[in-house]
Amino acid sequence: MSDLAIETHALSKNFGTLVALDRVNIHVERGSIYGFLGRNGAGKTTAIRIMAGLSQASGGGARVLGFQAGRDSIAILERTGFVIDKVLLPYMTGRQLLRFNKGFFPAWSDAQAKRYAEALEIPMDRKFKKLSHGNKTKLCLLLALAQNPELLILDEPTAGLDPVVTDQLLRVLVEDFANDGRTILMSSHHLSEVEKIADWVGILDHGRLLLEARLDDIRASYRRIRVTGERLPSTSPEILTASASDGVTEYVLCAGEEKFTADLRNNGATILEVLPMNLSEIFVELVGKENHHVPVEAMA
Amino acid sequence: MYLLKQWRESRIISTLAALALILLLLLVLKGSVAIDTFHSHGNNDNQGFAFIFVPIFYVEAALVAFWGWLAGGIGAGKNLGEDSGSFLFTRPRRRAWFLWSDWGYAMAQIAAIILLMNIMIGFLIAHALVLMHSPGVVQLTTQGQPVPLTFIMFTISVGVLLFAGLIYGLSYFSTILIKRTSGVMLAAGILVAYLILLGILHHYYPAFHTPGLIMNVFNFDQHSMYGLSGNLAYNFAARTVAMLAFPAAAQLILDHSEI
Repeated sequence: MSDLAIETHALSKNFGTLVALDRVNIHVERGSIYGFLGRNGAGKTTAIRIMAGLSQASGGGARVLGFQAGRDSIAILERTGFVIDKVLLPYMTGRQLLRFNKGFFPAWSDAQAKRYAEALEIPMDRKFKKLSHGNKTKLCLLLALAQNPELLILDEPTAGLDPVVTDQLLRVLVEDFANDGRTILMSSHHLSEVEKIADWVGILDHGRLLLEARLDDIRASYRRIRVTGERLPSTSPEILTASASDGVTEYVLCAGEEKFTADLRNNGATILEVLPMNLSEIFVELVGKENHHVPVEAMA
Repeated sequence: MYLLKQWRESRIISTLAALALILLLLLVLKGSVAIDTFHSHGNNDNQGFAFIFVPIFYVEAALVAFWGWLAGGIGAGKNLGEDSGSFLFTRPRRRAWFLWSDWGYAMAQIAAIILLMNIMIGFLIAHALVLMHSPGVVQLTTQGQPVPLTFIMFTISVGVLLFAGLIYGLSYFSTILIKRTSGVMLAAGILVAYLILLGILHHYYPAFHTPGLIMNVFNFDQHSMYGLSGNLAYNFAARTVAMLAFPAAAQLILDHSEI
């Protein structure tokens, strides 16, 4: 059995002339929480829909829990909880949706469904269409969790939710699901939330995977460095961005901070400060500079 | 599980059908009394009575096909229109499973409606035949052999089922095609266009044979009934294929759709 819960090979998807995914290679380790990051329209949902068998790849392929997406959809869907559009059958109450869903999944747990309904405070006797946005999302998550999947794939689960509901959802995901050694892939552009729970991140922009790495490695590798001096380098493999203002040059490095600063000092430069970067800052630097695509191998 | 969804979605039109059947039952009871009165006046015209089957067939066909047209707006196409398609189609079943479940459920309801209607109507006619001293058989034409009532009612039932199934299939196909419930209007448009086309062809090329929307179970003109149509088995088989073509085409579209 592969150590990867999800693996894509040169996954591509075109909508006419629009390239939604451009040879994307994702690797999600079993037991990990993978933050799948990108701006709106980056291609995250398209990739997830291909994994779910809702959409067909134009090129390449995806394997989910060892099964080929599209070809082995039933095997994938039996083992994976998908939350994609967060729209269920609008005329059914939460309780009816549980009954509806139960028959499809052999590992379904009524006890878990009841527990999550209580923990997430979902009004189960109200029709889905009458629920608030937050409760709709929570009910979608409840259905996915109660089917006892090996893998959860969530598309923007916290979009539009207030901080309290977001916290409730993340707590359930981490404490009840991921702590059992099961895998989560969660797409989002709410970086602070992902940073709280993810141990791997993949950053997608304009259909291309800009970065895939362990979150700890990213935090350890990325540095913002402010320098003064003359004849400073503007390009090198470790420089993500370089900008100068008022005699101070600011670098964002994706790796090799110690060697880079040592080389600068040897050239007579003065290092003003070396700052760690959080995920949001790294994301903005990566995505904000469309031409600065970092080789994935650099972080792997 | 899926039955729950189908019932929740179709319960309004199912209730309408149930009410219509209750109304029919009341009419049958009233008709039964009227037949007793009619017979007490000495009327024993079995063959004239045979003409009642033609309006029964067409009225039944129109009513049940209308129900089928409405039912076509329910199911996977409706879910796609409501954006719940990604939820539905991430349940671990083939898309074809959902489609044929919808089709099977609707056809079972159509069959049940037709069966109940024809049991009631058949009861009424059987009652009249007993009073006319020809129990269970109807003299459809003056020259021909009497035909068992059960066979006539069975033939009507199959004819209506195939027509209503065709209309339901077209309506369901249209909702899948445009991914929303309003596909039923597209289906209505297709039907009207087909009827216009038939009219044009009939007008300019009278010799050109085009199949009508509804099969002729009986041969008749304005004045005479010629009995049951010939080639019934062939007609049934051809129309069964036509009826199944629409869900099959809908499956083809659904299997290749981006949800």
